[in-house]
Amino acid sequence: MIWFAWRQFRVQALIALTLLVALAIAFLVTGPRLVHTYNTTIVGCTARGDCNGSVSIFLSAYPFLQNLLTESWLLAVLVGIFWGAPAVAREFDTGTYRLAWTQSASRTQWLTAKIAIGGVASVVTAGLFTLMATWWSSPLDRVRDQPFSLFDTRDIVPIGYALCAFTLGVGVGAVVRRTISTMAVTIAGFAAVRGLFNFSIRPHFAAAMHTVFAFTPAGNGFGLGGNLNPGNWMISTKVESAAGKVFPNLSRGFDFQSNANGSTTLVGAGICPNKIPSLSGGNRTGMSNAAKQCINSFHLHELISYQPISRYWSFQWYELVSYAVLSLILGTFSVWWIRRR
Amino acid sequence: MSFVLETEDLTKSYRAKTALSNCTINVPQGHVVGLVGPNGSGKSTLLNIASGVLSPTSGSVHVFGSPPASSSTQLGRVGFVAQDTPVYSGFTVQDHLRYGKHVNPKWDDNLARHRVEQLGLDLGQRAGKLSGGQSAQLALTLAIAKRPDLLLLDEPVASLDPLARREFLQILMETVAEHDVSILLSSHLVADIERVCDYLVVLVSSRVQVAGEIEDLLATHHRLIGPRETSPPENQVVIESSYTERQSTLFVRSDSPIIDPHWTVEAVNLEDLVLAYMGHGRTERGSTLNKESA
Amino acid sequence: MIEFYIDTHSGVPPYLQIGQQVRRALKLGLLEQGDQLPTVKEVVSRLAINPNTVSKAYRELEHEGLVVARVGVGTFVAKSLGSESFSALAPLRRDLQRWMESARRAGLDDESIEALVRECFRSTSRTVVA
Repeated sequence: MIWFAWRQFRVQALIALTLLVALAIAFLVTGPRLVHTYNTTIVGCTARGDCNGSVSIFLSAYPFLQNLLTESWLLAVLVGIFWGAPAVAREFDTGTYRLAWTQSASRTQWLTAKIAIGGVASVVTAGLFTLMATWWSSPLDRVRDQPFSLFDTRDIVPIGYALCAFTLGVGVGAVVRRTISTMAVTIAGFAAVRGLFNFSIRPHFAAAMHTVFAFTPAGNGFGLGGNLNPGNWMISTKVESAAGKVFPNLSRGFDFQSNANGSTTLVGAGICPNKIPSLSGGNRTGMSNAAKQCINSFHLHELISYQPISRYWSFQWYELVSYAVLSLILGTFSVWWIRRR
Repeated sequence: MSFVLETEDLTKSYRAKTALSNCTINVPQGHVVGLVGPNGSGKSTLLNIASGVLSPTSGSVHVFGSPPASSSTQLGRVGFVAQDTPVYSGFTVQDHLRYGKHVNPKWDDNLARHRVEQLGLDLGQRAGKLSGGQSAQLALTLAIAKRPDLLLLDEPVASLDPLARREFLQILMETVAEHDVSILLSSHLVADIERVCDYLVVLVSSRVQVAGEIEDLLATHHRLIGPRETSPPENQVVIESSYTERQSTLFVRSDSPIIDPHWTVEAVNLEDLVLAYMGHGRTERGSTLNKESA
Repeated sequence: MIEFYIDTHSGVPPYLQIGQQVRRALKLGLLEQGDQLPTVKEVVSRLAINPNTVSKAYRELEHEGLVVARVGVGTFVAKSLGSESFSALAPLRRDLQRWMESARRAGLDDESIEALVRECFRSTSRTVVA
């Protein structure tokens, strides 16, 4: 059955190989240039300390390839709909399952061989792809130093995505039995899984760490995690006053309201202990200082929960293993389901 | 007598309809069995279940004493040519033979290649480009070359032109002559059944109306023509009857010779037999339905 | 070698037709003693009929002494049908003519005679089987 499953898969494997080779050529042509630029320009300006301009130019190199890598979630989707979905569904569509199931091999052997061939191909293809992508991007990533922002497209998790999309296509195909519908359901299902992981599961692979920042008027991004080392992955942030009241939203700055009795309220915190001269008085500096005094009186602080940059690799492994386990469940389900028909 | 296929109260139902309901059938070994019946009587479902492609909803089914597809050995003993003779359109003829060889331990490669040569099929030709007759022949070759003890064929010649049909049956009969294989094939065409089958099963609404060796059936069924008022002779089972003002025509089954002088006895042919039992099955079902609704 | 054909509309069972064709060939001298009949496999692969049909026909012919089956080799003509058959024919023809005359005297027309002959023919064919 392995020969048979491979023979069926041959064309698809060839297409994947062609695309990988094309990508490899693109990377091989452009990659060394990136390394060179990094070693000369970036290293140089870092030593001198005047990198701002050079860095932004560097980070915008080869936009086509960079965008391609950002959209590399597509790879798993393509694997799911062109390798996974037809594996079982097409045999039902064309009726050839009635030929396959009446040879001397059982349905289990038939499907296991398909899953093995397609699964290995998915892992190898995604592995080669992510290897090339990570290698090519490494100068850029080193400069960016925000690994969590590109978590989905680097290192080892894309392998898990591809394998999961494949087995999802196989499983859906076993149930739905029509290729086109299977493709649609697989896309939707895979998007749901990815969404679930990205927003609900990944943040909780390990207990988040917490840090507190006191209000820093000069600091940028207070209330938006600006004080956190950008390499860390911010999960959530909230601003509280000393009394424990949670500030609603600092994205548009502080909001003061004049009250009837002449006092002023800092919206979200409480009544200012000091008096704030009105703007119409013309005393801009005075008003500004008084406002700052009022804000300080509440001893605002920002509570940030985050995952530190040091956990990047363990998170990659947690996610890969989770997707691998999910793939195993989907594969087992597929075999169990077709035995029932 | 050993049976190739035995079912008891075999039922296959889907959400919307019941394809086979309480079918009990015993097909003996060593025959070319023709399975006839109207559309929707369950012939195709029965064959798909017997070959292991479909699982029954309830009831029992045994092929050579074991449930279908219960083991690799069992799968190797049964060859199946499904309706519309599916083949892998992306595979070449050669690929199909290689596939058969890899997957079937009892595969007779010489036989397969000889047949392909005999048929004039190009080994390098993609199966998707074969004509209907050619892919039917390919499917049959695959089924035969695994040297099964039982061949199941689901209306294999229904969509073939007369020449392709004849060629298919030629190969099939040659196989029966050469190897010791039982055949169960379903067909609409009584002419084909008459040529190649020696055993008949008539299936109407999942019920076996009649089953037996064709020679015996033709010997024990007669058409009786007589005056309207005459009562039927004794010891006859009337399958079908029709009347005009003056004349009764009865289609009967009897084991003993009919010596009643009132009746003219005529022999029947296979088509008459099949039609009579198909009509009988429909009436029976109609009266059952009437009873249920009453 | 003789080549068989089957007339599906003749009302005569195929195995009888084969027997008839062998006998006819023998009478016409197309088959002689020692000639081999086509194997069962050859016949069915041309005519697409059940092999049992052919086997049965050959068995009948062997029973009549016209052919002999040699295991592993084939079926061969045992004797030529020469004058024997002709001598058997003459009294039969005479009887038949006499019967025809009686039937006409009884008032039967051509069609009734034919129908009667066919009916008897068919029913006697069956009893040979049994």
